[in-house]
Amino acid sequence: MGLRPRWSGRRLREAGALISLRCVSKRYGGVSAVEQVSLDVKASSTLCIVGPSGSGKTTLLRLIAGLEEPDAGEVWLDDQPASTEGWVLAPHKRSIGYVFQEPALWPHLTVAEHVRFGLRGPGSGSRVREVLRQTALEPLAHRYPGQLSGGEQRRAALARALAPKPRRLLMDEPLTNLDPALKAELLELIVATRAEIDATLVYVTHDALEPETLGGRVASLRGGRLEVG
Amino acid sequence: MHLQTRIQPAARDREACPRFSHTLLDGTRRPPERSWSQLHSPVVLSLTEHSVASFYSVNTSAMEVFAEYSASSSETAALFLALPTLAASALAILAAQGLVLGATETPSHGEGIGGGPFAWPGWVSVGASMAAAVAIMQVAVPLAVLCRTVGSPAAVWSTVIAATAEIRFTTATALAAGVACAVLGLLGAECATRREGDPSRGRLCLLMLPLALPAPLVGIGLIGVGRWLPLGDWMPALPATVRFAPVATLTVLAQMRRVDRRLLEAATVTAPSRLRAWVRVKLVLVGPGLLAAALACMALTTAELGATLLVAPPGKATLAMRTYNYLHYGATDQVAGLCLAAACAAGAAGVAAAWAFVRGGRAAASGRPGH
Repeated sequence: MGLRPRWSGRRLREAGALISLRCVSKRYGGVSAVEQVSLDVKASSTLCIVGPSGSGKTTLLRLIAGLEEPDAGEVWLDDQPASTEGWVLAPHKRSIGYVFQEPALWPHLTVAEHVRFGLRGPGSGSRVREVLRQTALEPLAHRYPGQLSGGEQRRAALARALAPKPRRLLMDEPLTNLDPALKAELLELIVATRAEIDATLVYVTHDALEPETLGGRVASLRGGRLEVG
Repeated sequence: MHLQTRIQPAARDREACPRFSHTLLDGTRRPPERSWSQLHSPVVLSLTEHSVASFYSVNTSAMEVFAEYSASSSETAALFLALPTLAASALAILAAQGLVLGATETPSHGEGIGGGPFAWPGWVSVGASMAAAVAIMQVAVPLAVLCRTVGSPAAVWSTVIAATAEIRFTTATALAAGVACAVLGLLGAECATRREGDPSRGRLCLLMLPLALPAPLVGIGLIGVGRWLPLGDWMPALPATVRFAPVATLTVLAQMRRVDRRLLEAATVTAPSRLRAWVRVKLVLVGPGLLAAALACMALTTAELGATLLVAPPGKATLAMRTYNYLHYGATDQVAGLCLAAACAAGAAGVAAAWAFVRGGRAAASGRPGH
């Protein structure tokens, strides 16, 4: 996406912020999805973003992940610039674990292969076993996505995102369309595993109850504009 | 006719009526351009080919190019003579770009129509049945005539044995061209969709332009290439690759557009390197499209004559060249035997390509809950 721009060297971040957005805007055609959003998320913290459908929640996460290029503004990760108009740092260089609204599992890979996908190096085998145990997926390790139930697929997607121990976890309504019991179980799993890897969590939902379980700050997104609580 | 499968059930619900309605069809079918786009390839290929027309003594522009070069050995004269055809084909390609883009938007496996069966009106069913009948006749009548002309399976066998060298040479050429086209198709599709994920019309146009070249012009151009790039017996694979790589690009592009984008994004975010995401996820999901592209190009190469005729090495002939020569000698029974063999080979490759493409739809969709 073009050459890396020369950065002005301005102090754009708050001290300790792992994710910083400054006046970020994104439009699709004539529709504004995210409008002048500024945000700091500190290391090891949790930020829940709530808002109705179409309020720009997913776009905001995609901008942080580097899956979208902002039309205006800047995204910073740690002390490093990550996105601005015309330049985006590749998503795999951002130390991000992303859980999509749909599990988005690869049909040709088993659960264990999904977990191993983001890992490299000699310790990957033991890390795979550890994550599979944490997410109670050990008995399903050799199954393909088509052989899993909806809840099992969500757990597999979570395990895949957690395995590389990312510093940032982005979750886009990961528990949509699950029954309350399964939702509660997976929420507990998210809280426990996030704490274990000490990741910064940005969690997007339209369910007002989920932030209560997750703790942390809550921000509201309406019409692409952010109101931090 | 492709239907927008996601909106169709919604439209049906709106109608609140199980019977077909014209409003429903008009509101939910993809724009008719999708169907018109299917005409694009036959039109362009008809403009640029001359082999069939020559048997009926029809003097096409592509035939003129071939004749001019045969008489004068002048590349410049051939090029000038080819310019009108080149311009017309290029215009057809340019005009059809939007339509071709739409046609590559085929639905994925699993995006099937929900709800009950869709009730088509009688005239659509009759039309579809008639189209199917015509398609069957297009295959069955020539095959029946060929079988009758040959006489017996033993005669076919003896003809095939007599043409073993040509069959072997054609198979090797088709395999080489198929593989080369698939690789170029993959690169072309990647190039066309490099930035935003949706193909760029400008790039796609450039990638499709080789289709506009009249077959003899491709051969004439490659004679020059053959002088400094000695490919020997592999030379006939080169014009087929040049001519059919755009077909492979379209096939791979269609498969790429069928792949659930979230699967690719999940790979991009999760993979420790871009290469792993590409090799372990994208290439695998696009794989059936690559196979379909290779097989389709193999089938097309088997029948390619206009350019191959000019670049074939001395003493070597493809099946199409041998058939062409037999036809001029009036050896109809041998021609029929060879045509039958070629039709079976090309047909098998075509069916395999279709199978691979259908399978690609399944591979392109994300795993759905099993229970």
